[in-house]
Amino acid sequence: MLIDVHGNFYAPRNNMPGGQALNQAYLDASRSVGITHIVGKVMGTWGDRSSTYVPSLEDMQYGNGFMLEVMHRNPGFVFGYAFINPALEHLAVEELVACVNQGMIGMKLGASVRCTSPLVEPLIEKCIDLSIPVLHHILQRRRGEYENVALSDAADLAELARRFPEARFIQAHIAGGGDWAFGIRAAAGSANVFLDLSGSGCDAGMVEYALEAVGEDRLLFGTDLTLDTGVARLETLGFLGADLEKIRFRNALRVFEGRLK
Amino acid sequence: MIMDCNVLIGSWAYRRLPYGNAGSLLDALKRVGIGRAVAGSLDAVLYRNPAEGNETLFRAIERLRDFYTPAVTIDPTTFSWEQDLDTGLKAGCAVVRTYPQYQNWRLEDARACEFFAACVEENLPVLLTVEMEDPRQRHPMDRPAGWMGGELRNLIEAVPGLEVIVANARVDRVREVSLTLGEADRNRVWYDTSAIWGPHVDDLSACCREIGVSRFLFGSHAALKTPETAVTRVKLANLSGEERKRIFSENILNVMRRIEGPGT
Repeated sequence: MLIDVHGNFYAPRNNMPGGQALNQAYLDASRSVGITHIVGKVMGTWGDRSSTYVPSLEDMQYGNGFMLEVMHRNPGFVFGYAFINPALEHLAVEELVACVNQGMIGMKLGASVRCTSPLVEPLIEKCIDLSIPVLHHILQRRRGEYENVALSDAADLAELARRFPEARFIQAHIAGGGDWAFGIRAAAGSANVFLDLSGSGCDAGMVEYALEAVGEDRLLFGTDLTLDTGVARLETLGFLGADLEKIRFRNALRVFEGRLK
Repeated sequence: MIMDCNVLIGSWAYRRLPYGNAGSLLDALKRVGIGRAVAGSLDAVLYRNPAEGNETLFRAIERLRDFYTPAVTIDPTTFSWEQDLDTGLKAGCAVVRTYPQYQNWRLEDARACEFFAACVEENLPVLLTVEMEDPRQRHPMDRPAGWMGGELRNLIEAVPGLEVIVANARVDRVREVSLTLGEADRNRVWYDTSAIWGPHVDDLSACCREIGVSRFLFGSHAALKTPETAVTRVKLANLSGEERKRIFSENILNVMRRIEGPGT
């Protein structure tokens, strides 16, 4: 069993280079390396109509609708996160509940506001009620501000995790760019924060550092845009003597509390 | 056998590396199936005088020459670059490594042009590293000069016979260099695979289709990057077995003609 906790799909309207052709490429490549379960998300229109990270209500619902289609076309293989813009307040909570009622098994918390914002709290409370994990896109270490996005860094996520000890958080892509050592250190003290191993970065030393700081019980296999880097990180973890079953699937089964079958 | 055209031995100022010496790097490369590597000095990138880094490198791999082929690092603005080139040739170097963005010189400088002409004279290819580290995670003081794509294009057109390996270049830069050169000049440029994304985006196979598989050399950019990713990327890319073989070894031997030893 191999569970990818960080997948991406693209709806017909999208502004992603490669566009929808990436959907089939991802499914095919996943099968070829033995991935048995994908937990993916669709981030609205990926900037085609509204910002990727701050989608309008219409685009958020449009993307989630497409995610449900992908799930239904690939039963038992593709599972979904509801992609949620917390700035939409009660409408965001309603969308989350609607998505989970239709079979989604996690929330992808959009970077529309910083994760320490009070706007996020009702969503985390709802995730606790629904017993689903929260995947959050972070910049490992924020050194400035960016347009059209309110990026949290790993320290912000650790603060959110401290406030909600009953919630389970997945800190996205340790290799997604940024000061990964900062991100890993920030997560180390938070027992309810799991690190996904996805991301295109391939710095030597990153996996070793993550294993030492966080331990094999809180690492999750993931791919994001580059499946090859995720697979290679498993190989590195094997060389390091880590319990690969935990990282390939046991930890993910725990995080998703039986919803992955 | 997999041959790696781009490995670096030594220390890097901005972070600790898990395999910073020749022996530990060799173990890390061998465990993923790399049987031979062309190694430059990582220290030499930032030393005032790269020759000091070269000396350390040559000593470090002296007893490991059945695995490593040396690459000499040269800054053509130093007083002794001709001597450094000579030393590199005597040490059996298969390529010259250059870092203009990290050593504050330009490819179009007069001394640089003399240096590149000397490389042609000696039948030595030049490896130009686009960037040492992923810009997303550099130390705040790690601020090399910007990408010199236009200058590189001019250089290749201006120096007949010069052969250039562009290392650690992302896909947009590979395309920029390749697609703006004329056909004859394009055939004097190679790209290592160390920064080109693999599946499922798979820029690597797309580049091989667009530019030609003969232009790509396997490179890991270890010890800064992990060799596991470099090998996995090529293995999983949408390429035929024959294409993979060319990238993993045959193309390297076509351009780094001084590589000698077991397996060659």
